[in-house]
Amino acid sequence: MEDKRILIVEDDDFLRQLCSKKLKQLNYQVDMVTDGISALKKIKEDKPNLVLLDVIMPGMEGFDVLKEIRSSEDGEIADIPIVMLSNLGQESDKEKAKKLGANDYLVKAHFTTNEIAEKVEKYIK
Amino acid sequence: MSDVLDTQIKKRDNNGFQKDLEQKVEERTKELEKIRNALTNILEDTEEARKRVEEEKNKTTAIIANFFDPVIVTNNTWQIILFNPAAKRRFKLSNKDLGKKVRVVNNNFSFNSFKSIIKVKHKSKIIEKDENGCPIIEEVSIGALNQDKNIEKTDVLFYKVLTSKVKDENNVCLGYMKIFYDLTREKAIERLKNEFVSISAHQLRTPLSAIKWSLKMVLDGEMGKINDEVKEYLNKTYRTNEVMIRLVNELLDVSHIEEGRFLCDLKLISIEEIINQVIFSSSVLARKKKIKIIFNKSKDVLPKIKVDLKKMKLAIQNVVDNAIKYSKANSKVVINLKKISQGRKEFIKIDIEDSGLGIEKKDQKRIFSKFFRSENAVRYQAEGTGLGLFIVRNIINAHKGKVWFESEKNEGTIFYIQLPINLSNH
Repeated sequence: MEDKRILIVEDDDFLRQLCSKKLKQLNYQVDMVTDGISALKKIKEDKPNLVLLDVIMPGMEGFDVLKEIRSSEDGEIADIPIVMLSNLGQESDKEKAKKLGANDYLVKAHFTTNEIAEKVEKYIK
Repeated sequence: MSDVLDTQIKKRDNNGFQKDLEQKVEERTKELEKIRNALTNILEDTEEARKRVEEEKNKTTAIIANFFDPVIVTNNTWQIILFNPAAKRRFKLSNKDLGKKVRVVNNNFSFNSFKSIIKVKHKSKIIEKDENGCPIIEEVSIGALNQDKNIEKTDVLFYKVLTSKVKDENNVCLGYMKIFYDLTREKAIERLKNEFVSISAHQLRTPLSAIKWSLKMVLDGEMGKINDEVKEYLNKTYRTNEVMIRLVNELLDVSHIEEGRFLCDLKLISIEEIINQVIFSSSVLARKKKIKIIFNKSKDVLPKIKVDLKKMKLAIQNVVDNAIKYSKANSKVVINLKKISQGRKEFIKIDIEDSGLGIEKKDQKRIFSKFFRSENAVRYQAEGTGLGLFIVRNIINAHKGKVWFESEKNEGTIFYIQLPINLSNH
């Protein structure tokens, strides 16, 4: 739990803030970005232990970021655990995420930050 | 003297006779005139009637010719005898196609019969048939011509095709007429509306999530201690927010259902298994109200049927949840599952019975309508979106099944769901 870095990729201010507060309470190091391109940059720089990734964002979409990460030449980056946070609740979206290599998929309105913390604990390396 | 008298008498008699004769001739002439006038009238009426028929025929031809939508008419031996300019344009027909025979097998005069004659790419689906199996309503999508500038987003045209028999006054079938109603614009508008609902609902989830997350964190004491009164208020706020989240979920379900009439994930599944899952999901709600759920499955092994698992589960869940929601505490909800046959067809039948609130006669017609909630239901339980049964009916219909109910106010309700075994039409 100490010194483990989590990157939150989420374009809504309030959601980002709540998520960050929860994880900081659990003693994680938290970084935040608001779009896909910044996320890829930060991941290359810091190699976080887990990424919380929003699906719908302006510019590059979550699924594209996921694809980029998983196809990285750097093995460490390609293996980073990724939990997707989304407003899309269809089975087809969940399956798409699994297929592209996401570790899990949470529909924001159906979960609270407690569940996010549980998943983080489950998947973090 | 008597001679003179005689002659005078004779003259008088002759005059009388003459007058008589003249009178008779006059009467006869008048009669003949009347007959002549009558005949003239009949002739005029006939001429007028003939003119009217001619007019009607010209009017009908003119209407069909000027009809904006394509019309194709065949005689009773399936030869094309008439089509209007719209059909000519749309289907690239020419006068050479007149008299051509359409391929009809088993009286099934569907749009597919035109395959060899209509020279544009097309796909068709039968929506309604008559007692003899002849299609009455079909939906057809056709690849567009290059010159048509009215197409906005896609380049496919949609038609609703109505087929009717042309009969004479003795009910003898003279032929068939297919009218193609252009649905393209309506479909485009429907698609836009659906996109709007979908986008709005998805956008709403972000602020709803933020409220949910922050309230939970406060209620869990993560922002500092809060007293009981504050806790109670915030709990209510949290639950209210949950109602909004449920409404958004249902709106998205509806828009997803309406956007594709076709079900996505059809697999062979046991309905018994689905009902078990539904009962499991509802057990918390049932336990809270001390309601017992009894599941009577038939002793025979029921065949698996092709369904969309997630949607069918949602449909049955909605009905069972209603049964629990509108029942008094300490009552029971009974679910029966069996196979029935009607003639050569077999069905899976599910009954869901409660002894709760019931549905008043005046509300029964509207119970499946979008957003409808009956007064007594609203009074009994304020929360509810009115979309549950609308979604149920959509899902069951999409599976080619039927859903209906019997209910008596304050006595309870039985909902019936019937699903065909062997869905070969998908």
